[in-house]
Amino acid sequence: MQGKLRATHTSSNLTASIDICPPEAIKTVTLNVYLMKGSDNQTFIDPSDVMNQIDLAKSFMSKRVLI
Amino acid sequence: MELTPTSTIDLDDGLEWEDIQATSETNDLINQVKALGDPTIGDRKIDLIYVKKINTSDPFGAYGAAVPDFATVSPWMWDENHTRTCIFGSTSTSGNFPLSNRPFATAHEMGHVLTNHGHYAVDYSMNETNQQAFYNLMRGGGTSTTNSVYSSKRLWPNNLAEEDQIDMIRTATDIPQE
Repeated sequence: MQGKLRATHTSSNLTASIDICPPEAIKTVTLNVYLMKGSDNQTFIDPSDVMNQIDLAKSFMSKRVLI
Repeated sequence: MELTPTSTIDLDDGLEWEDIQATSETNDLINQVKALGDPTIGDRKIDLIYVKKINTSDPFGAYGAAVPDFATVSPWMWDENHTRTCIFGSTSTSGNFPLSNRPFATAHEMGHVLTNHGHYAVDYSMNETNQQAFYNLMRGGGTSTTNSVYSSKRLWPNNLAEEDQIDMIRTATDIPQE
């Protein structure tokens, strides 16, 4: 059994669309990403750190980690 | 998107979190987020919220937390409208380690929503006998701190586990398949 997860995203609006693709079907999930701000009006985390995590989920699931 | 919390939410000292029943601060935060986004996406969406840190009574702390569909069932007391939400701290609860120290945290919490299940070999019916849990994305006690061949990034099909996590992702929610 094989499956993979495909993800595309744009860093401008931090929305990711993920297709989970086992052989029988595709399941599309949209990820809405919200970076909350503190009282200093700054986000607590760098957006690139978040997208790295989403990219990692995409990459490892597309390399037959879902087996 | 970047989001300023409403006046009832103070994230500078961390988000107050309890697993069984949402705190008022968590409720207010999720309410704010659920009011946004594209309503035409409907059940397909998962909201990922990144705060400073998660303040939890769990002695081990937490980098992330999820509200799967099952969280509305006893003993959990979550609002159905708040499900399919994942929350992450930019650091550990202690503040000593960055989220980047847990590179699989986002995938792990998404996994709770997609499998509609808890931790592998803890909240599953099977007994863990061959260390498969160590390599599983949904293991309890924290995911791996580095990405290597030995990392906790596997989801098992039914020839390797009594419960098929791939099948769970297909069928455990009403997120439609195409």
